[in-house]
Amino acid sequence: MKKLLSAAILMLFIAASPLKAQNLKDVLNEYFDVTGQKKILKVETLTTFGKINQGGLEIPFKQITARPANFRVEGTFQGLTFLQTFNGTEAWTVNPFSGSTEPQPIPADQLKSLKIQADMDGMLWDWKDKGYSAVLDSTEDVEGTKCFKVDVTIDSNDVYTFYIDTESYLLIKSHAKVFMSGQAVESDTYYSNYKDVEGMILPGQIENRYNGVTGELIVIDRYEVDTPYPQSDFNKPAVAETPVTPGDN
Amino acid sequence: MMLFTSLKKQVILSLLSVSLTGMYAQNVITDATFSAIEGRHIGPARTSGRIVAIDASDKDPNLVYVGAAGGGLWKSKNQGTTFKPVFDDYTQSIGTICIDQQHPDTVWIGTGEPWTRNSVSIGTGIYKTTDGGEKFEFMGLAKSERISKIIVDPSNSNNVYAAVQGALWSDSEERGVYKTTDGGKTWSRLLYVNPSTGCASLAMDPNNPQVLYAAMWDHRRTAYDFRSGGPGSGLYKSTDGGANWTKLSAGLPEGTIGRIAVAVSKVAPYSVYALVESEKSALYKSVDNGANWLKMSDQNAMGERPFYFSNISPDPVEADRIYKPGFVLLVSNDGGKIFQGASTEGGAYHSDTHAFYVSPKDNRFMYLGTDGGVYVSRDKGNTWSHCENLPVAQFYHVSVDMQKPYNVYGGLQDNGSWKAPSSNPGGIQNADWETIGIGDGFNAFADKSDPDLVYWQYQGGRVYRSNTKTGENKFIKPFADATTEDLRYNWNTPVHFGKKSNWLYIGAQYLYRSKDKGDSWERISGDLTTDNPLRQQQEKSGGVSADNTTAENNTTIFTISESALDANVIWVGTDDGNVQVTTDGGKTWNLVSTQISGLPPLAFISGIESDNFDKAAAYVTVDAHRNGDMQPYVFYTNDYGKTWKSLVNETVNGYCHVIKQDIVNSNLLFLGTEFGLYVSLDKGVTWVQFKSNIPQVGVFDMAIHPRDHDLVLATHGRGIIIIDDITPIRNFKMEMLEADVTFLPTRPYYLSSGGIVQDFPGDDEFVGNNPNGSAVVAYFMKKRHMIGEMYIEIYDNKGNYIKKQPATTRKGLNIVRIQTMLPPPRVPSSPNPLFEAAFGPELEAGDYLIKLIKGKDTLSTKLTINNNPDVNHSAADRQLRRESLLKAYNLLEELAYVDYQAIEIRKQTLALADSVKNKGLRANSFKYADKMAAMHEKISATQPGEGGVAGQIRLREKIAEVYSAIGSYEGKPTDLQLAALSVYVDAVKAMQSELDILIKGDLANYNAGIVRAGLQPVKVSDKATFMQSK
Repeated sequence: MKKLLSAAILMLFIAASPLKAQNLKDVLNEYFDVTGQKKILKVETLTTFGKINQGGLEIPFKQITARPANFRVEGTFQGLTFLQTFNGTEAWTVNPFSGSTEPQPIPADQLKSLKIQADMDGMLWDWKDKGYSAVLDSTEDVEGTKCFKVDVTIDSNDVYTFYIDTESYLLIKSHAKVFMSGQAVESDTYYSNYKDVEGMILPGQIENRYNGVTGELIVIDRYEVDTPYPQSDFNKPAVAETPVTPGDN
Repeated sequence: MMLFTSLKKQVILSLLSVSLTGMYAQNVITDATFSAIEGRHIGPARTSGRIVAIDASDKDPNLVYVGAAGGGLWKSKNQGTTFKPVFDDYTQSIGTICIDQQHPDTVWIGTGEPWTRNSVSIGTGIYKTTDGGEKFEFMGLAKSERISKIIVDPSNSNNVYAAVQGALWSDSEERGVYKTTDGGKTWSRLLYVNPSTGCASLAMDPNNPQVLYAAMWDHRRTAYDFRSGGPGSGLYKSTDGGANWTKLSAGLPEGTIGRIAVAVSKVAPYSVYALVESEKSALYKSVDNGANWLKMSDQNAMGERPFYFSNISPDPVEADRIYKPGFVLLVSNDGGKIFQGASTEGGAYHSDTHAFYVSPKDNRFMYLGTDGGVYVSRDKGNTWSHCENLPVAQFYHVSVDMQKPYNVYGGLQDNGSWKAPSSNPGGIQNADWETIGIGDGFNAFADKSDPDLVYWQYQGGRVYRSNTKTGENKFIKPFADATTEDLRYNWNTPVHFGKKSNWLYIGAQYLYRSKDKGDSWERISGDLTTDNPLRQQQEKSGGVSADNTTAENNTTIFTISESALDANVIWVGTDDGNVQVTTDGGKTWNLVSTQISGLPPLAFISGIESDNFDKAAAYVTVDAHRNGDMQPYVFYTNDYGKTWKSLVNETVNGYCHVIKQDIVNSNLLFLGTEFGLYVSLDKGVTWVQFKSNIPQVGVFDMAIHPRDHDLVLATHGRGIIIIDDITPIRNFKMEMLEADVTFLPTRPYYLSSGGIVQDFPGDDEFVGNNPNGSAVVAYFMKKRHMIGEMYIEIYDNKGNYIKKQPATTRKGLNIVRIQTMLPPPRVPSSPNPLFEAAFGPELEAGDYLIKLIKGKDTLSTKLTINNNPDVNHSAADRQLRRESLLKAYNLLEELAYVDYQAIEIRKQTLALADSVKNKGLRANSFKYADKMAAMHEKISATQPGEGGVAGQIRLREKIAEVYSAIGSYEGKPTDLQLAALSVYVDAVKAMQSELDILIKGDLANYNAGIVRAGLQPVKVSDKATFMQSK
């Protein structure tokens, strides 16, 4: 009861917080504090295990982010593994569902989104040093919840908008408008089911929507902090092995 | 601050384990409350709708903006192959579009259509985007009602001129030519004539932005008359950026002038053209910058409906080529003397052309906006392709039938009457829309008892009953007889099927009723209107140019509603302010509008909805915009009209067209206004706008499907929009606002095959989305779930766990699609995917338990999966199919285990071959490895299929094909499917036996040797362990 009461009193502070944070610096400071940015800055690798729900399928996946700018994601279905790796400068994909087991290079204009994925600290941290521009646009309602709206422009065209809950200071939604092959590609990502991971508050559920329609619903079963990985995990992958090749017997 | 933020983090952490209740401010319903239910746009785009304005980039004409009469603003970057709506948060009535050609990301939008037909909507001012349409900013002129032209000074983008045509239905001071010199922050009125005269056309000398020509138009529309022309009309010129103006007259017609279109040639700027509506309308030309004018042509086409077609467009490249949009697109090649149709080989575009753009970069390329959408020509207007991707159709009414899926029926402004399915395999395509009537369409219905009969109408009460099988059309409009005066029918004549009786009603000034589908009619009233002769002079309508198309017919019945409880109770509303009711089937009528306090006089009674639960009650919407009053009016009575109360408040925006009461929840009301859809859960005490994928478009009519519980909207600008399954809203209670989580019911879920389709229509065709075909669970949350786990578990009715899936977490209503498929079968390994086995079998019909786990709380509800009632499979056949499907499913998994064993034995024996020194053991290692490779090759395709076309068919692929085949049909499998399955069962058994013999025999002996050699023997997991590893 005491715990409940103290939490209730503290919620009053949360309710009052929008009056406190009215500029970008304050909003981001609150956000970093709430989400445990200090801890995030110390993390070397973060591994995410979960399932991607897409088109009625549930695909287990594992995603690794490793400093300084490495990223790897793999998903397995019917024993076949989809793989994407990025080592900070180059990226590859292996997609057996397209009929190929050989790694294919990822085009340059798709690297920028992988760079963002590989940024352990998040786009909002040290945005100036990264060459981005950021503005606190306004507050906006996201599905009934009032949010601070922060626009981050990472080059002349690509704009990411972050919607931070004015009560909890957790990220509810981000919107990306990224140019690929000369065309703007837009998507919305919604975050929920936050969990405490060794002092970091990380989402347990992520939903990607395209033109308002759910594309992927990602459930995160667990995070693993600072598991060591060799650099080779992020370089060009080997050709996927098959158990038997024709003529083996 | 540090203390504060630290406290907050503690709260976040504490919320991970503590559930808090009762500590939030009281919730209220907002436009986000039900946003999980979205409007579903189904078109049509085949007919599209009236296009008012077009502007394209002069440097890159692939970039084009298109403005619709009631369907908003659309952007295309590819000549119209695809369009995107970019103005859904604002009025959907566009007046004009102006791209700043020096900065094409800056686009100015003037709202309010300038083509002032009777059904025209209204604007809300001027807007600007500076980022290519991502965001628009309101820039003022809020009371302008309609803006006909915007010009950006090419030498200074902060200087912008706006031609404000102004109010159509009343006097207004906000008219004339306006200018901003600060990019829209402030505006100055530069030219003003009088309260009834606005600027209908504005042109700038392309060589000198200080020189402007303004066409002022004195005009007025009422419910019963239109006047084009008056003393205020005239052509003006300024040579100092609008500071001073001179009225031009030398060579222009004398007498009363109507609407003028003025344009300056880009290629020969000394040439100015004026299309002048006068007693003999004609095209005039000045070659001395407007000082003197010469009549060029008074062909009849120069006088075609000037209020609708006042447009002249000199070619930007060829000085003597002049275009005149009108009923069709005309062109002159001699500077305006003789006009002819621009098309010689083609011309299959919709008549009534309003917006026109010719590229100065290549004058063969042009866009044309018509009453039926946008067309593109690449040969100077000779031939045209239609952009069938602009769903901006303007419906007046909608109805639904009881087919499966149900069809929607409705009539469109200038685009006839149509029918389309509410869903279709692959989505609702243009080809799915079927024409059933011509002209301006209004009401259209399917006959409830004869599926071959449909009813449709065109303007002025011309009602037909058509037999879709024979192609016969019977004209069933009631005619006057010896007992009546000439009949007066509204442009949008009400045709109504009684909610109780299903008798057919039509309203002239009298109410007619037919009990035999229109073959015979009974007049059941006297004149129910004011019968005011001053409002019956439509033959004099038009002003300078006569124009009588029934659009100004007045003193007519406009809406009819028979009580759902008693066919003797009939409500009627007229277009001149009368509400009448009979309680004896029409023998006697009571004029009850006199009892309505606050009723604006002589307004359209736009809609009456007899209460579905109380025969003494009715809801009335009133539309007074034709009197210059844009306010919403809704009234309610529950004593047959003796007393009334108002049901609108400041939440509701826009004059009102229609109100519908739910057929289950008497407190649930839907209101359609000129600016969208509103919902009330408390019988009209409070309203909230329903914005979820519903633009601020005029909602003219609605239908609630009695079986599927959809709300179907007839919008006058964005076609048909369906709000699927309103059951959760219908069952919502206000107290749920304060509860953490509350389940809400949804409509029943039926298993369905879904159909098949193979079609590649290209990107340039609109396809309407299908409804969600999944089972759903709905719940309401008072607050967004942010912290801690939240998910759904599915159990069978015996409490056996089936699976877990994500939940949605939004504040307000949540609609979660339940994943009713079992996990896919585990399949043998292969370099190729096995798409036939990508999904598990769907859960069979029955009751299931749904658990919603939210943090430490668990809430439960029931989900029922029903068999498709439209397929007649016996229970035995369904059972056989289910057993066979599961047998194939299990067989794939058994084969996967066989394959696993073979792969493991091969892997381990190959590794041992490298380790053992004994020649016999080494030889056996290779022997077993080869044996297992051979077995694997019998099981699975091993050739990697680049692009999935390897074509190897092994046992895995064969079983998967049977599995897929059985799964795709709800009834009895074919005999050979069952036979093949038996063969495959035997084959898998044989393989497992072969393995068992090997493992227990030769491999056991081999393993003993391996152990003796001090190595680890070959070992494979048992089946249970293998399956658990799934």
